[in-house]
Amino acid sequence: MPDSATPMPLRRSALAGALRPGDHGARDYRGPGLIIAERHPLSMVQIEVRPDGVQAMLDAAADALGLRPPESFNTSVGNGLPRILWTGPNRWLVVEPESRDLVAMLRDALAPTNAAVVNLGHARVSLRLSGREVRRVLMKAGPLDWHETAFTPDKCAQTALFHVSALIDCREESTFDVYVARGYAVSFLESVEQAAAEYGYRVG
Amino acid sequence: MRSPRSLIPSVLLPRRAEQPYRLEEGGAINRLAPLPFTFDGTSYNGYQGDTLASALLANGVRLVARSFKYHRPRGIYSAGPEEPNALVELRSGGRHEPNTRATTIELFAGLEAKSQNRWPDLTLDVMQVNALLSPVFVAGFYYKTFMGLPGWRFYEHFIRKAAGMGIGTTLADPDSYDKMHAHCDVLVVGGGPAGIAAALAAGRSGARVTLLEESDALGGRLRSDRETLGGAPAMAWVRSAEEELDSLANVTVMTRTMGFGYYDGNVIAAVERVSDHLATPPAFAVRQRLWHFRTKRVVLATGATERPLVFANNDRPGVMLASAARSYVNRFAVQPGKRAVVFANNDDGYATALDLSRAGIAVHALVDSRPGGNPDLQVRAEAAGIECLTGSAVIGTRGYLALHSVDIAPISADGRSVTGNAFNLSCDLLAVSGGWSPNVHLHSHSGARPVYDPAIAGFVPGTPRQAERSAGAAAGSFALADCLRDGAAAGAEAAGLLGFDAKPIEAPVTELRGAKPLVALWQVPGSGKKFVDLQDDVTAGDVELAHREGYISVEHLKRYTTLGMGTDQGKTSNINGHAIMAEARGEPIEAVGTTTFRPPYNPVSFGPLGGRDIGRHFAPTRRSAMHDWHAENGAVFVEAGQWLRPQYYLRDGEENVKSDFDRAITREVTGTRAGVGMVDVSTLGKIDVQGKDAAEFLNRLYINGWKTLAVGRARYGIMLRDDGLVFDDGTTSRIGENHYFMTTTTANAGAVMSHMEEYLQIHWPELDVKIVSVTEQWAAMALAGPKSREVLAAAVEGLDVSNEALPFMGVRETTIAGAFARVFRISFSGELAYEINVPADYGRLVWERLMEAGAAHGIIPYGTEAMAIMRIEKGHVAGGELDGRTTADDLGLARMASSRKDYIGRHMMGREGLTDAARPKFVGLVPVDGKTRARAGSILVADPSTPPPVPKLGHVSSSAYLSPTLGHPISLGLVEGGMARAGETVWAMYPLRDEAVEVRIVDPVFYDKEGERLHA
Repeated sequence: MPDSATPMPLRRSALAGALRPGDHGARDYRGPGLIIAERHPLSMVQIEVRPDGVQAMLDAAADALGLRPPESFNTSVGNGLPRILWTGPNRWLVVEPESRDLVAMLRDALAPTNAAVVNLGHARVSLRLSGREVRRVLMKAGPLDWHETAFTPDKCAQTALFHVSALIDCREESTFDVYVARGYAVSFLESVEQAAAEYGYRVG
Repeated sequence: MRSPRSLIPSVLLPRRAEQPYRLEEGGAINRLAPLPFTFDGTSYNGYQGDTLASALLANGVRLVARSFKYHRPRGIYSAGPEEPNALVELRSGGRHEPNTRATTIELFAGLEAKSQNRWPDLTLDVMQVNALLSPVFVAGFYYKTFMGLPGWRFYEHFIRKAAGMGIGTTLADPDSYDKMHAHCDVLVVGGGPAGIAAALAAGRSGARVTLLEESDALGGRLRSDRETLGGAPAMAWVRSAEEELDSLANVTVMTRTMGFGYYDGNVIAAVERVSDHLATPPAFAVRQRLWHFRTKRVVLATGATERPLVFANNDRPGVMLASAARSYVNRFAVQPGKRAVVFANNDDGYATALDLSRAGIAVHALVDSRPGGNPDLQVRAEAAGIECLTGSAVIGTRGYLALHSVDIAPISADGRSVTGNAFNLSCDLLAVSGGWSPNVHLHSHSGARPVYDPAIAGFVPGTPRQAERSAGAAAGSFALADCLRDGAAAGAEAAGLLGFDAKPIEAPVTELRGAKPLVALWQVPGSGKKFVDLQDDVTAGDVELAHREGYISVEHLKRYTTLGMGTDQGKTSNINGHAIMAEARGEPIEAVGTTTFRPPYNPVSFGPLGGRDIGRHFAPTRRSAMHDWHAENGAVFVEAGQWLRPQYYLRDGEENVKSDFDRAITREVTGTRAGVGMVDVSTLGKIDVQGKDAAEFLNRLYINGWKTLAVGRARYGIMLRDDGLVFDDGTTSRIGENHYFMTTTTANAGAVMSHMEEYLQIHWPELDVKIVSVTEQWAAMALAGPKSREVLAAAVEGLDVSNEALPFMGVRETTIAGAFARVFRISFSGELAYEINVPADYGRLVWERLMEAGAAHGIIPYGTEAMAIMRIEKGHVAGGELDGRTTADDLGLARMASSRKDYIGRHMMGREGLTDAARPKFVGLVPVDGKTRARAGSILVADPSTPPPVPKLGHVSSSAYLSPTLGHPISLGLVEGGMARAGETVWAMYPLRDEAVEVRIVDPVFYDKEGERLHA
């Protein structure tokens, strides 16, 4: 990887040209039922470690990131600077707005723990879905229990949304961050827009 | 077919008197909201709250359909989803929908409905000639008569036309549909008294409860009957219960939502009719929604369906179910006739007679087939001036387009014979009740077997197979008090089993009635057509014929006579038909059994099943980072799995027609071979492999060795499946001490990843290897052609790309346009070539930088067609050869296999069938005539004139219909003997297109056999 001091060129989102800012679909006096916003550019780094190295890695990661990755399955922690999601046994995803060479930093910090640190910053597109009808839209997307008593903030899950493999992170009661593979971004956005049209949606 | 009448604009048609059969007051309709509609082109008015059926009856329209086979005149028979007769075509254009039940269609302003299965119209249906021939048109007639005769296909056309249902539309549906997923603790299906009580009991405990009601409002039979609860009209209790349910945040009530299927895992599927009660859905609203409820407990409060009585000519317009007659007078304030006779084998007849009488209908007689009737109720009926005839039956009806009288006679106690003289009684309405059958459909879907209960002469739910319980009428408890008690108990039990503190609810007090059990009467004595299944025109005689011909199982009976088929799936007919069969067999009904109910409970249209997964969204699409550039530069896209890839690029003035795209493909191949071209290869699977055992893992995955691969080098590898056949190929590069970067084919990217995960997680968890798919992280492009080095040199920042510094199979890291880039010197095209990977958000930037750097050399973007042609020219294997049937040896790759290590598939590769010398081997094929293409998939044979069975020598695996480099079509294939037959000719046969091409067997490497170009 290049030296982090080198200015990097501007990243082109997979959704460039596909996001149409403004209000669309049905009009409701309460305002749009769903707000769609792309989170870009993001740094996303996967950490995977052997089972015997988990505790050492968690300690090292906590030191380096100022936040200890969650040990409970399907949970996430952090205010976003960074956010750390449990994505599988011995596997985590660290996400933050791109402002430093997160991969290099974590590779250095976790080197003694034999962790695999992989840059997925361009591999996923993340949409923040929020608003009054966000859970209703998710009910159209996939089979999980989206009820506010079941899918609570700081829980995350992986399932197919609109037939696309997705990672879903509940940030607040009516705010979800959804991650899908970059190549599916446009198709996924179209599906979200179709599903939200009856409630009205804002692309912001 | 359109009737002549429907050609006349509706404003010119005569208008009828306003709703002559509508009562002045009462009913749950809004007389201030008249709704105009048309039926068969005639305009009418109904009211808000009407169904199409009630509005037709209010206007005195009694003839609404022609029967399926005999084209007999038919009227409205029920007031619910069980309707066998009144099927109509609804709406027009793309929204046209056949076979909808008039009894469940909520009336809306501007509704257009047409009768079906008649020509030219209902009163003058020419096919009623079938009825005259009905003695020969018994069950199985068509097949017995016409099958086996020459020309069945010819007859079939007319037979199918003569008998049938409505006609669908071929226009696209303009509406959209949704699919939804929901979870709950307790799902209650059915919003009648039992379902409401269940939802209240479970809802008050705090459990997440969803209540589904098929119709537009809660209440079930209470909407149609004059019941009281706690001394007040029962609907007042329904409204207060509804208010309470609405006030509970943990309870969701969904009306217009039919639970239609019960599936494994306690999943209930339902369809919500969001906009069906409107002429068109509001902007952005869906027409219907498909719901999947994943539930912990289910309460089935699906009610019961009244069944007809089977007597001669029991199908005339004016004959209807007693419960329906009560619905029309009580709920819709419509008189379904002016002069009525009621015929029942149970207490329902008395309530019906009293309700009809109260609605101003002259009830000429109540005919109770039970020997003593019910003396308590008889007193009440006679007090209302209704004559009660017990131990009697209606043995026939008269009239043609409408009922005008019935024949009544005393019958024996066992119901098998007429014991006295018949007399004729004038009437235009005959309300019949043969008892009630619990709606055990969903219970049956869940895998449970309903059991026969002689007390109600019907099937009740058996032992549940899933976490469910039936309650109320669905469980065979018909009295209102029992329904409430049973429903509340079921709801409380469901919540309690889930750990909620459910308290019993106080059931309101119901009116007490002296009930007497029904006495089953499956077939009334007398001769004539006694319809069992009105929708399918199956008579008691047909059931008996089936018995005589040996079709005595209920499942055979169904297939032989069509009993219980069609849109109503035998809701009103099954039990009567099965009971008549039981009688013919001389066995009890429980021994004969019932057919299995399968989803859906009621018809579901394809719209919600497809949801939004239609058209371009049938499956999601996947785009590379350079997609927009391709689109802006004339790319025509082809689907490669879910990926959209440029197939070729058209230039200004070119159309997507063969002559133009041939020119484009030729331009791309020759441009690359002569200068330089670039293709988007982002779709290749990419897997990051790390860990100190990574090399060992690769050694076990691939047939060739990996321990000697140096950092900064790439190697081509072949993987086998467990069974020894070739799985996939690709290059893997060593990019760090314990860090590798693997590529797979586009098609197998997911499968290879799963294969690797399986081995790491299950078979070799001791290996220190971590893998992750990075397919989407990297945009990848292949720069190919003799000028590619010059282009790359101009674009990279501070990297020596000379042959010495970056040799064939070398890997280097650099930047291009400021973006990190990994450059691999590998080639698929056979030219000097480089694959460049950059983080995907820089894909377009770097692609454009390379195009710019290549402009001086005439760089050309190329698509999958040119790519495939070049790899065939070079004799590289790809999807056509890696088809899951070939071994490494078949493909000429066996020399790659290491003998010094073990790897997946090694032992199975040595089994007899895979080492047989006669296996077809990889070769090239060229047409002997120099111009005719041998299509991929063609079978290779020695002689095209051999009569079958023709010995197969092999097949064509890939084909380039043009090879601009060679000037003639070329193919790759596998043929017995392989290259030992070089120079011989065989025939490529493609019988689907009747093609036979003589081809010569040649070396599969057509181009640059020594590999000088890629090493240049």
